[in-house]
Amino acid sequence: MIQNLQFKYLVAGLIFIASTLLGYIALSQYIPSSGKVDAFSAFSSSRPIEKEFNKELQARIAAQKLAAAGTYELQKIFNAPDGDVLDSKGNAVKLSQYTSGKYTLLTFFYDMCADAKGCPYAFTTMHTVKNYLEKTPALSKQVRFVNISFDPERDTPLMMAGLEKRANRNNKDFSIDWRYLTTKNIDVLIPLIDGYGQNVDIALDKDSGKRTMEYPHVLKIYLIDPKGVIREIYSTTYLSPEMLLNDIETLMIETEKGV
Amino acid sequence: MYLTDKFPKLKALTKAVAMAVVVGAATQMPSAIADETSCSPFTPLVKGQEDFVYVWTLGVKGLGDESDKLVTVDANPASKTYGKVINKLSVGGRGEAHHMGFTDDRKFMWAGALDSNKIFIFDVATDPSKPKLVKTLNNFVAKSGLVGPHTFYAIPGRMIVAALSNAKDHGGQTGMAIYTNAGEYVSTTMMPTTNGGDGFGYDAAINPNKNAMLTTAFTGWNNYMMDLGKLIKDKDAMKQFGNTTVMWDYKTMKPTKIFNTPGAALEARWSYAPGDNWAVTTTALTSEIYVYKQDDHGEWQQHKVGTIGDPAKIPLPVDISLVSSGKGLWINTFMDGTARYWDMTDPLHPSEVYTKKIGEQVNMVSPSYDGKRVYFTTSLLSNWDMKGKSDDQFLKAYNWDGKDLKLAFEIDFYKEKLGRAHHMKFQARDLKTLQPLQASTANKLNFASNP
Repeated sequence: MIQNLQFKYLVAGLIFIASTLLGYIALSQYIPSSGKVDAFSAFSSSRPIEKEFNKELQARIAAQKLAAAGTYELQKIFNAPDGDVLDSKGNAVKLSQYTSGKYTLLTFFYDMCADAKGCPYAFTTMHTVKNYLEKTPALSKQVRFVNISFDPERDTPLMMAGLEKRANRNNKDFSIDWRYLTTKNIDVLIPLIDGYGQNVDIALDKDSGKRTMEYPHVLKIYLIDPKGVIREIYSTTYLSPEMLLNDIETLMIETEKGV
Repeated sequence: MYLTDKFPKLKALTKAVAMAVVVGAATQMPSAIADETSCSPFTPLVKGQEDFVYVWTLGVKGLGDESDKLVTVDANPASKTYGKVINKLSVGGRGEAHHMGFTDDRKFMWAGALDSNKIFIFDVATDPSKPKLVKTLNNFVAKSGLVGPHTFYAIPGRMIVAALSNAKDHGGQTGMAIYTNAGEYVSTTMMPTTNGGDGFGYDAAINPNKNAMLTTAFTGWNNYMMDLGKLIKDKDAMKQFGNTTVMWDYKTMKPTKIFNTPGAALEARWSYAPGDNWAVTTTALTSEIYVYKQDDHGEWQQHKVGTIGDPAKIPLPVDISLVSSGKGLWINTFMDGTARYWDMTDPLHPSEVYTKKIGEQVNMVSPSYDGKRVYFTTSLLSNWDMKGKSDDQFLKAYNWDGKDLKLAFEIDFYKEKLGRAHHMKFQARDLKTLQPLQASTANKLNFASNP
């Protein structure tokens, strides 16, 4: 009996270490160098797809004539839905505590997502925003990032802890509060993704019909104001660090004006 | 063990049909190369063989159940029911069914009625062969003050509904309403009436890479519900057509430039081919082609680049559709029932290279993503369609080899007792590669409330 328990703990420990290591490896290639304010620093990989995407991103940003922050209004789209989530310590908490009180960028993801234009693109974009904002502690303290996993089976709280630690590694004194959350199971997850209007499919193997580890979805990032209202929704087709920063600043100006 | 085995609810849900949308739906083309029936660039595209063609069909008094309906046609040549109507979904009553548009995840399709102002939301993902009406919006006029929900254009998490008219006088002053995907009203933006704007509206199309939106202008309820013969003789009524197009900052929803575009510009289309920075429209009453292109300073300029048929005969250019490469443009002229293919290799100097008479009248045109299949339907507006024997109502599918259209199949919508065939949208499914991880449709539409 004791031997069985020891074995289980050993296995659990190995899984934790492996999960954390995998998370580190998966994300480290997308993390820009510390503190560097450069929208493109994250795209320095020599992998052809990313190099090509870098060109597209640069072209898009150059082409976008973004209006000055504060000169436009962001729609009040809908209230950020609430639900039950697990934090990186495994505590059962309400999502609403992470979608109010600050300017929040929230996105759904899964750690195994390998699509350069999917979750990694969102991560890279958000990291660039983080690096910029952390230059000014007064700004960074007002902003929060939230990642919620599509894959509660694999993306356990332990896994989230590793990702969270990695995401918050820099500028400890004025880091953006970057939370990685998961759910107890799919049944708890589904009302959340439906509430946000986030689609996701399960990819099946063409030959066997069995599930793969891919969750195809339309990438969306939600900008939520301190009152918990979704003010903008971004997708891969319409997403850049500059746009996110511009919109966050617009909301900050709106708050200053007392709108 | 899979999650579906562990959770019966999920298992039941994932039995449902999935769509064979673009490969890797996670990544929706930052540099989209698309004109799969002129979908929003925020919507996943069917890049392979379409399985179904949905036809939003106007009910006709004395024909079948007389109601507006969504007709589903099997369009996959490998299917036993290829070229056949496989489903009819009546929405009850006649409200001037007109256009449709997918949500940004292609799970739902919105369809509007220009007279009743109803907006119907169909679930086209759970079983794409049998769309299900899951919600009807009856608040369009009350919420927006607009009349005639025309264009349904997906943006992330929302739908732009571009209208034709207004509730005050049913004239041409109008605007665009925005709803969440769940069907909750968000806001209204009116068409500009200053700085050269005439307030008319019709279509809207966005180029996300340029943060630009082009809108066009048609006419109000008073005119589009009037008999066409009577309308043409009414000089005052004929003055009530839009003569402008507007380039917008999509992000801020503010006009950046208003153009003088005489003769009611209708469909707005962007070329999403890499490197392209232009859009195109045609004018119904003056038969001109206009291209919008950025100059060396990045400012949008309008160019009149071609004339369609003989404007004196009012061929009435209606639907247009760019091919995915941006190198060609299908233009239908309603009055002579002719499809015209224009070479757009040089968008500022296009030329007509092919024509084919499709029927006595023709309105909508929808090419497949690869351009090899082209579909046509007939109805323009119930009171504008031809009368008597000239009132063809059909869906015709052609194969296009770059030189000639060859008929693949046709469905007579009168013989089938369906009605007037109008807007088309494609859908695909592949049960072997995708399953939805979704809650029930009812839950999905039980969305967060507006603030």
